[in-house]
Amino acid sequence: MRAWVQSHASFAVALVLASAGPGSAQVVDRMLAIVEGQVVTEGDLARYRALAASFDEDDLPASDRALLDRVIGDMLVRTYVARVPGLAATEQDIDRFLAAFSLREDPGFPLSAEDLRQGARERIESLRYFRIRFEKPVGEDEVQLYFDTVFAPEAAERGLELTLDEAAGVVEELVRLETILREAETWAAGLPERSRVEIVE
Amino acid sequence: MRAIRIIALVSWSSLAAAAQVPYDTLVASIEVRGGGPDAADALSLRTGDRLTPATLRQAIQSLYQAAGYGRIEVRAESGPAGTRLVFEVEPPYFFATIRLEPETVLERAVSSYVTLPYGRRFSRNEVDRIVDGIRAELQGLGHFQARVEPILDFDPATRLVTTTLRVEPGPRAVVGRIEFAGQDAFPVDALRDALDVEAGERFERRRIDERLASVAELFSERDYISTRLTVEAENYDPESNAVDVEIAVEAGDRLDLDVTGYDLSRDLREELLPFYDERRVDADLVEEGRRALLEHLFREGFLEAGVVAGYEPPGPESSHSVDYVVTSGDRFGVQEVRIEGNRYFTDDTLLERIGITSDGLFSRGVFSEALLEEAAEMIRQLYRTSGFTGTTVTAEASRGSGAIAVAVRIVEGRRLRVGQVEIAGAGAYDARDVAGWSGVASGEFFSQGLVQEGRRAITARYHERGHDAVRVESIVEPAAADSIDVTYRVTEGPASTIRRIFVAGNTRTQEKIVHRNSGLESGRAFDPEAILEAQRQLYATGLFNRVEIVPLERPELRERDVLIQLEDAGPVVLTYGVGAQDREGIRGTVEVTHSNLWGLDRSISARIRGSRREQRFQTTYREPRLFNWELDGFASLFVERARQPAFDASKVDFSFQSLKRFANDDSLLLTASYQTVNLRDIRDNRHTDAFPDQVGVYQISRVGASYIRDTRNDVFDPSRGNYFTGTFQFANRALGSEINFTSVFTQFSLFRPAKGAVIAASARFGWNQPYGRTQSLPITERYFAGGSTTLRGFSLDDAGPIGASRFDPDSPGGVRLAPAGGNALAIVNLEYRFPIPFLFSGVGGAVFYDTGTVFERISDFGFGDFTHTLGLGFRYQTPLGPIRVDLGFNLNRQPGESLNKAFLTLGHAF
Repeated sequence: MRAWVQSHASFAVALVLASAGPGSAQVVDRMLAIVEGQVVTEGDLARYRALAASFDEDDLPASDRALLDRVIGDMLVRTYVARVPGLAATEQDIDRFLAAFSLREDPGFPLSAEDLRQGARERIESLRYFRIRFEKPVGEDEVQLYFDTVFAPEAAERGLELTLDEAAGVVEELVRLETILREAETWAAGLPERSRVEIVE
Repeated sequence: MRAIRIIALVSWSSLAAAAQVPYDTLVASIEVRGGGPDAADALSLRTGDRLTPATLRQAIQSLYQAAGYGRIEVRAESGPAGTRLVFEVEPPYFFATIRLEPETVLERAVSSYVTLPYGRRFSRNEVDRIVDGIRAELQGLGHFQARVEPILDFDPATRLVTTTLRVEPGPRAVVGRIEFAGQDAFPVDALRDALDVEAGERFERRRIDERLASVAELFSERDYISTRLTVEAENYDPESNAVDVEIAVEAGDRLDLDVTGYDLSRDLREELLPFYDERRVDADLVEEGRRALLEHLFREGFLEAGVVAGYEPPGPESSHSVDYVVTSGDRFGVQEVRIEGNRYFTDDTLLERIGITSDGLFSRGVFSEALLEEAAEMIRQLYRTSGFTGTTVTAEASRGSGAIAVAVRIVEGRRLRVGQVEIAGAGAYDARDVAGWSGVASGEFFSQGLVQEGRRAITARYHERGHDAVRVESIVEPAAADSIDVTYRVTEGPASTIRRIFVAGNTRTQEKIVHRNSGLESGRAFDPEAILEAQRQLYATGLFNRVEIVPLERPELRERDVLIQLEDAGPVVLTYGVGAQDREGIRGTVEVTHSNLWGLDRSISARIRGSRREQRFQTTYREPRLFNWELDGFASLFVERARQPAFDASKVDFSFQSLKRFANDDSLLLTASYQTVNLRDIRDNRHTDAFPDQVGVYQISRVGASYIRDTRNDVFDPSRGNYFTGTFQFANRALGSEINFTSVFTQFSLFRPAKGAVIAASARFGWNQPYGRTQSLPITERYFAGGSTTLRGFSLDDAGPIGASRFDPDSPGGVRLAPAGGNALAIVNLEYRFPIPFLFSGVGGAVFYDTGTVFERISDFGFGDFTHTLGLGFRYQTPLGPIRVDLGFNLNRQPGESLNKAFLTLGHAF
């Protein structure tokens, strides 16, 4: 017995020390920024990542600072969305939206059902706002160019052969969406300069 | 086994270090570290609540909202009873000094290039914004490889952050290719020639922007209107260190404009015709231009003018063609503008408000039918806002032969009175007191001006009590017959006091000087007007290039910290100048001043002034708080050699002075001086029998006091206000003086505006009285008159008693009479200074009358002996006052005196 204790004592001590760490209390959240009086925390970033995973969004920036900027931008966009009446998403809109995604879970952050529905709501209403603000007519040249350079090659990779006539409606919508999102991104990039944003050091 | 143990150790350590948030557990205990005793009460989370992402986030939000913390971190520790939470908080930091290193990397201080967030909460993105701004400025100078690194220094005691921007500018780029896009009117080479920026020269964005005007001129010469050129891109190549510049050209419309029947200058075309602002031409704008041209003609007096417009749109290669055919007709002058029926307002008050003017020396007056309607409406509006109701105003113009007479007839209505004065929203103070602060009383005559003055008075009283965010609105409503009720609605906001005052940015001036001059004190109410006054006082010291006084951004607190952020001015100033005065000729001055010795607002200066007749060296030391009282103290030494018309003298003077400023306009100066004078050549010595040592060296020691009151709006070129000075001096043997005398001198000047001109008047009186053993005063202490600043019908010092004739190679015939001076002086000057508008700006004239003389003794005083000079002059304004040419005619000249004198000098006569 004594030999067993002696041979394992050092191991046991080391184990205890390792599990102690610098105090037992770990930092679990912190304030990262203040946007128009609303805090942004590490938990908000984790929630954002989890929602992106659920909605199959794979274009998240790698660095935390860039992600923080993205979250801040989205919060500022939401302030503009809130000013426009008639954009609210209904429960049916949200159900349809959620049905289109895999809703992968992120083990690092437990998304509740309400989190998912709120994430869906924000995305639906933001897109509606962008359409009102940035939608422009799409020309035939643009549709042709997009079909030739993007749509047809990607369809071919998937083993689909489609003509422009067959895919015109879809291509036109894609071109429209890309234009809207591009304009929205440029506009949103300038929002922090006109808003009260404080990145905490 | 050992390997397994190591693996387990490492894995366990990793697991232990990974901060898994214990969501869905109960909160066992909560502690807030770093906040005040009530910090935990602000938390939205309580013991026993379930910990979820939403509740944790809300807890952080509630802490921030309660106290505006700059850092909030949450630590969690799981236990058998649940999760123990510790919130660690810190107050925010605030921006203070922001400087460049090296300081001279840019021409000016960093505050000139970017808006600096003094007093605002520190945030990293603000630092990034400033860095980006400085980097952009450096790129504008060609430093495209500049590195700007912010070094942050956090002071936990004051919570202030000092930011140093360490700059490595890198090499300076050169201009590469310059391309113009968006036009085909000119070959590119022609545009490049006009731009005059060569490839290979040092790149500077400002120079390119300035040169774009020359390129625009090319287009303007070919009838293009409002051509716009902008630098669209600067493409920098680090390998060649060159910048290719792309300039976008919007040529604008081409306009072929022809105006016949009237000479319309280029400047007037651009001012009147809308094509240039709108940067296009169409039929609507052509008609708008026609109406503007017609209105201009009416105002010029062509009341029967007509304008016919013609317009042809452009073809493929042609311009817009616009023709205006003007028939001007007879020209009328405004002979008279008469106002009748006004009792409450004077004619001058009403005439100031209408655009119609009568003809004058250099103008035909201004009139048009539109102006006539506007004038009537302006007067009606004036009566309404002054509390009148039922006032009728009719304006008519009658034409005679080449002249118009304008008559404005007013029938004043009833004057309303103030009814009730009510206060709404004043929770912190008695409403009756607040109503009293307004100064508006029930029953007095109503006017909008009175109500607004009351609003400002209430706001000022709230500010004095620390309510810096107070808002006061005024609401007026008709009440009973002929009265109007006034309500002031107050949104008070919290009252706060000044807690701590931080001083930052001062590299030379000691902090106690800043505190003393600001007048701010801890514990006083946070009054925005006191803050502004403190800023004004600090600027007035001359020690700082920039002063900003800001509260540290915590408006919710009742005790607020204040930051005084400073940029020291350079302490050493070198000034030099050239002047001219009659008989003295050209005069040069050089002065060096150190204005902030030891950082204590002490100054020392040395000045040298020289001309062919006078050489002077003077040094002065200034002590801002003599004996720690509110007194400026001066110690001054000057050495002078002068060749006056009556004598040559050298002087050494040492004096002490103390200056007390009572208000902005009043001051009292006490002087004690000791002077050694060496008279070498007196051209008139009428008192050798009484004062045989007059040639030679003697000492004068005196004390004196001067009172000065100066309300002039401008020291160099006043147009309103008064200037008064009165000086008394006393010299006595007991003070070490060789002569005993008293001296009184007083001067009063007034300046009044008069319809674009200025009426100026001045009266001077001086009286020196020897006493005791002193029978007469040496010549250096006598009064002299004559010259460009006293009596302009006489040369310098030539008025008054004249001594014996003597040979003078400078005078006609080689002989002149030397002035003797006197013990009493009386001079009165009157002058009418007017602009001459039809010449270029800054030109004016004057008509003047000077009278007075010098008396040998006060008992000789008599108005019958006064000289009289009438003259006229020409003025040209400079920043230091007018260049003045005066010609004075001596109206009662005596034998030997000249009929007239001419003077060229800088500055007014008085």
